Amino acid sequence: MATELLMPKLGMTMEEGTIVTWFKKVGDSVAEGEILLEILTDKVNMEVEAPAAGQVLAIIAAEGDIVEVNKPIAYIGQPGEKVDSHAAQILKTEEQHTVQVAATTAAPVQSAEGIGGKVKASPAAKRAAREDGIDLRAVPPSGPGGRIIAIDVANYKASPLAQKIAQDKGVELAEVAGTGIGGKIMKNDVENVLVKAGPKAKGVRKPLAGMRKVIADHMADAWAAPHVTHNMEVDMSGMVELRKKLIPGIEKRIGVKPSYNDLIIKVVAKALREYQQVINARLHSDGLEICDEVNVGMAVALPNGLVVPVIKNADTLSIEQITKRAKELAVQAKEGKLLPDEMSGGTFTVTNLGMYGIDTFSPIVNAPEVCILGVGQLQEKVVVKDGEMIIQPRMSLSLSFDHRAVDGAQAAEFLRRIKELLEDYLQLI
Amino acid sequence: MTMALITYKEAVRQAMQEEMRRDENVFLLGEDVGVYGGAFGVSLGMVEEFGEERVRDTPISEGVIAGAAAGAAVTGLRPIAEIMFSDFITIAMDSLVNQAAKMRYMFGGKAKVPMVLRMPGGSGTGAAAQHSQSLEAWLVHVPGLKVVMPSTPYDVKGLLKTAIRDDNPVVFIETKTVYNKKGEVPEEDYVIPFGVADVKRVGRDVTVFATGVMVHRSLEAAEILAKEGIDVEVIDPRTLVPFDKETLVKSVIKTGKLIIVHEACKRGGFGGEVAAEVMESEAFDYLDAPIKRVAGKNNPIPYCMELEKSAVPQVDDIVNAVREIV
Repeated sequence: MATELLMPKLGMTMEEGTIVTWFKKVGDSVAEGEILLEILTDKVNMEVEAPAAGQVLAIIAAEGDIVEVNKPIAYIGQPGEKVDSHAAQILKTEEQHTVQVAATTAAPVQSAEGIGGKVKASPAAKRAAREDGIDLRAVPPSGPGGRIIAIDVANYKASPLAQKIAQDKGVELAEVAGTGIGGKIMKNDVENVLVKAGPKAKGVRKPLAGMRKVIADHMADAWAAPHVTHNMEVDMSGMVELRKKLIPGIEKRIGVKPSYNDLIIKVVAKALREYQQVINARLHSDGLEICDEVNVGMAVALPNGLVVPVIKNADTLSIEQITKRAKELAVQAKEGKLLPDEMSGGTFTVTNLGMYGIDTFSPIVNAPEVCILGVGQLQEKVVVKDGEMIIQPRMSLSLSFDHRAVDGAQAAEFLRRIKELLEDYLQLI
Repeated sequence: MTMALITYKEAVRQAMQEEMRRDENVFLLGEDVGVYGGAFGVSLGMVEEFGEERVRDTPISEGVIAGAAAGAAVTGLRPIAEIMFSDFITIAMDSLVNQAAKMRYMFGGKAKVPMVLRMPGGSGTGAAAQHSQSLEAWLVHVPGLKVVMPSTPYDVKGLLKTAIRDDNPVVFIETKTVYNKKGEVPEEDYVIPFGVADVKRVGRDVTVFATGVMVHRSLEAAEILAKEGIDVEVIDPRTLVPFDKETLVKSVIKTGKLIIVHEACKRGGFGGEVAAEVMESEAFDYLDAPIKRVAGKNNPIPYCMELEKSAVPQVDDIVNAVREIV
């Protein structure tokens, strides 16, 4: 006997529903649980599943029709089967609707039935069906000679609406995780993938190559570290004064003015030596390496990427020596002449975005190092000191650290020490 | 590595020359390999460098060539024997199959047979039914023989050196229609190990497994199919024995579809063996279409060149076979 499909009652208050879309037409075969139609209640759109497997024998409510709950809207049964008298009754009384009834001579359902009732399916389709617990007899075949191939099983796993969206939007169903019954891929699952993928922007897609590829891989690795960033503002009055005093002499001797970054590297190197056991380290898969040398990397932005040349033994260098070395490395970097040796062996990195007007940011640790210091812009600010408002050059420091290797308090202590040194340069002597 | 653009033929010659300079036990024998330089000019100029002792012209008897090579090999030399056309292997079969291939086994490993039997195979030159066959399946069937079938200058040089250095009889099938095809070959010494297939083109949709000249035709077919959005992976086994099953199985698991292309007749051809290997492997559960063989027709190679073409797979045949199953 044919199975009746009723307008479902989806809530206590639901009295009627509107047919939005039929995904099957009369004569189509359906599997039990396959999505047959979409309805609209006073609250939501819902997909309605087939209550039984078979052929759609009759559809008695057209798209746009409003139907009372628990009234039949379709019949499913075996090909050639007649719908029962109750249905006939309905058909009669619902004459105003577009009524489609399957002719008894309807074209045979395309099936993958082979000799002796066995299902014709490729090994890949059989494996997919086995893994997903799908009965292959219900899967419509699309391969040559009525063979079920892998894509048919993947399609069967998705509701027709999901399939249509996937096809229209070019989503690979094999890559969509289903959340419906038995892992069936529903409309929402495909839409979620689309949302994640974002709108397709026009443009040329190029494979990541060269420096970009190296940076991409390195960043992805580094991101695996649990990151925390501490921010701290520093009074730079002392540094401004120190720099003014140093410029004439250093410029005369080496032709380059010391930058604030050079001063910061000097300060950082001293602090690193003091906190060597905690901060001047590299984290490897097999353990934490406490480094003897204090080698400070400085991030240099290039048009096609970023490099980090390293000032070796920075804690043993004077400000003048750091200025000289930093300048040499920056020039080499811009000319693309850095040697691999000059970009390796770092134990800490300083990255400065102050010149772009950045106040504070969250740098990513340059793995396997465990800390990185982000330097913001130097600007005059009004601060309150001893109950008075005064104007002071100030700068923000952002210390990101790999929380696996460094604790929050340790990092805070280290950053506070940097602040102390910056604010009282006599301690550098 | 400095690369030079040379022909397949030159690569074969260089491999022989370099090995003969390296090891004085290596020598070449065959019909007209001396002053004449070989029927295809492969050994041109070699007799001038190495003399008639080491580049030896033989009587017109493949039985003698293979027998002498086996004898020389088992007594300590490392012969490279040239069979002018691989079709003539028929006459050399007893020495090769019953003697060379069996000695090491039957003497409990006390005898070594370091010989290479080079021979150009395949059709495409209008040389008719007795000079155009691809008989590799016969040789693959014999335990004790290694069978090599390189398709490019790079492969032929690296593999021939490996063959000469191998202590077992190696049948080395050269593809005569690619003798003049050029390719990049390192100037430095290099060898290619046996049993390592080469993925000549990486693809996603279908695996095309091809040997000899069919590698080149498959690559051409792949370019045509790429325009239709079909991404073909082309695998060249390079050596049939030993056979790199792993690379093929991995590829079939990825694509789910396999087409085997060879010039030899389909019936009893190496393609059947390859198909069976895949069916027996873990790739079986990933096959999404029947394995297809695109191979030579089961008839003698015609003399008329147009008919000759129709007897062996052409680029279009490969393209159509792929379209049928993708």
